[in-house]
Amino acid sequence: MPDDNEYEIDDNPSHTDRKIKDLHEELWRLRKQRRLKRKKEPHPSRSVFWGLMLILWAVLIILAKQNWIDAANIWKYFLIGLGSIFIIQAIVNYFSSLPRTFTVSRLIPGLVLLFIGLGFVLNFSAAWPVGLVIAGIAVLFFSWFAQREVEKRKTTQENLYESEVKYRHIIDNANSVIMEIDTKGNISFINKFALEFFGFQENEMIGHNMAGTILPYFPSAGEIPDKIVEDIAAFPGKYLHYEQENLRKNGDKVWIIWTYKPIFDEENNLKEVLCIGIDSTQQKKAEAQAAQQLREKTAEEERTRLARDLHDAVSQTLFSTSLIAEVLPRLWERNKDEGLKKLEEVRQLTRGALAEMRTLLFELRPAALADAELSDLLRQLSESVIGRARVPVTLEVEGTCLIPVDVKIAFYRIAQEALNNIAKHSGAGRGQITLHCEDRLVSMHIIDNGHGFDITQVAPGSFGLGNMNERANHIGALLKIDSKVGEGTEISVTWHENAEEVSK
Amino acid sequence: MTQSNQITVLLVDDHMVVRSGLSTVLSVYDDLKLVGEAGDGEEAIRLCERLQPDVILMDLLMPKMDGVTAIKAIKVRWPQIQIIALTSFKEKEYVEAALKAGANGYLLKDVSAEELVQAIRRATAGQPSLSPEAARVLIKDINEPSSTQQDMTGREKEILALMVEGLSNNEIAERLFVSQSTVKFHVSNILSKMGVTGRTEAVALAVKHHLVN
Repeated sequence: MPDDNEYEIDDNPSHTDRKIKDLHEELWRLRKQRRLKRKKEPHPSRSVFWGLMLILWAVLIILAKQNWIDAANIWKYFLIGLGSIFIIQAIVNYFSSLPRTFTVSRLIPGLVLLFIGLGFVLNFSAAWPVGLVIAGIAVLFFSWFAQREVEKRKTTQENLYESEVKYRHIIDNANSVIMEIDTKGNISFINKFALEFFGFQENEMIGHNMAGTILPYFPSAGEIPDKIVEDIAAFPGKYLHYEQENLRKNGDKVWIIWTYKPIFDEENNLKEVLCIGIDSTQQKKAEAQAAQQLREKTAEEERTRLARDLHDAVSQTLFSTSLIAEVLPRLWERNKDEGLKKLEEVRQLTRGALAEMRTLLFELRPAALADAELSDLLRQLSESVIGRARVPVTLEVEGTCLIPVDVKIAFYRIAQEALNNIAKHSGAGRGQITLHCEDRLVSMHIIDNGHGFDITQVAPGSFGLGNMNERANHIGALLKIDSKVGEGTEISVTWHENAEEVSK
Repeated sequence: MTQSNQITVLLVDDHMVVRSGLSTVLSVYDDLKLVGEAGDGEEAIRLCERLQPDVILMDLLMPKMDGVTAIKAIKVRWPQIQIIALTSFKEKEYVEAALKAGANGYLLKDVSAEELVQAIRRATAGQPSLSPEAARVLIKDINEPSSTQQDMTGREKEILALMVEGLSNNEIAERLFVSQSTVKFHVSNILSKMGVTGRTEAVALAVKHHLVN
């Protein structure tokens, strides 16, 4: 069951559809607006130009017909009119939405034409006007091209805006945290998803430092993001898949896989850092849970195995004891000495079974080990071997053992494995445990007179030797296994208080 | 010194403690004689070759070679040797496996010395001994060829009863006010749970084992 405050990744297909629909609607609205604007937009330059041209022709024809002007010089007046039209058009343009450069480009040919026309009226040479008309037309063409260029730029700008809208939609609706931070770690951009994810308002994040918002606030806040930012610029490869624990506004911890990308300006200076993050909290939790489950399962299996072994051993011992007890009266009648011997065996077996039962309880409730004395634990183990395998194991304790709980448990487990081997595999006739305790030093020797083994021939994990090594390593103790075929086995563990610190 | 009327016994058990208890028992009865002890199946076979005991008390779970394998091997070579399985397990699989392998008896490790001695004596006369638990397991097995009928739901048992009455799916559907396909679904579940392939077989089995009242 996910927590209620868990941020749900929006993977609902209908939601995604809705977002795409939103985007389409906005783009469509944008295009429609543009179309309408184009239609509504009058083309003052063009309509005024042609209108005035018509009026000019009409006026010139009327004036010529009425002989108010010299018909032979009508083209001179035409030039003057044309120039005036250009100027008027430029003035009209000035107040319209067209760019100023375009207006100026119209004004200049207009003025030129006007002055040339006036020049002819005031009797310039007759060859000039033709060249000047051609020049005027050239300027006209130039201005036409300029206008086309401007139109093109406008379209490009609109397309740019359109793609910007598209990108904004994608960034806001992406199921990822997308942020930009400056070189100090201050947030300069953050997408909608990130705001919702972290639970902040936009003004609580923009301009604020990562530390104190989504990073835990350190006393030396600002330094850490600073360093990270520097590091990102220096080693971008390290931050392409960078898992980090972040904070929500409500204090919840979340895991995010970040991709930090440094962005440089033209001079190759670090400008900002693009941060793209994916929520990995669930994954992290699942991983931790799986690891925990595996650990628990292994421990559980281990305990179950030990408990089963012990239980098996206890029932065998008790079965044997009950058989002996049952025939003991008959035996006593036949041979009193033998009867006494068997009675002693019954005593040992029941003591052994008792010890096994106590050991079994420790397997079922390992926490109880912490409260027990190591020497008592070892006595119990040795008694259980006597009961289980009829192998007498003597125990010698020198000094008082005041040692940390984990060291005690490790010693107990090592002794347990060793005695298990004595009971099951060694074929030994007897065994001995020596526990020696001093200040800051504990050593334990477990010796048997069994058939031993060749250390170089056994697999590292067999006879629980791997387990013993692991236990010893864990507390920083030194484990020595000494055995030769036919010469028994000696296992020694030595632990120094300092050695533990060094190993940690 | 083996007297001719003594029963020679070989003990096979990986637990030394158990062998010690058993040998004590054997030592107080004049007609029984312990001739050897083995800690696993392989050693048991080796000792049989040499000692040719009359009776073997055989543990089942042992290292190297387990009891069932050893029983099979010994019975093939020396069929006259009587073997009594002596173990802590009363599960059906173990009982069946030991008896199929050729064991003449199956005793649990809670048997009294007296019962054990009786079993050894009976074994030499070719008479089998079964611990009550082992017997119960076998009897239960015969009475209930498929333990799965317990898994049957109330509805399935109800439908099985109607099948035994000889009703068709159609009629059962009418009787129970359910659709025919529901009945078909239940019937196929019943067949698979009983481990049979046909309707007639299911009815026959149900009648035979009194699965319906």
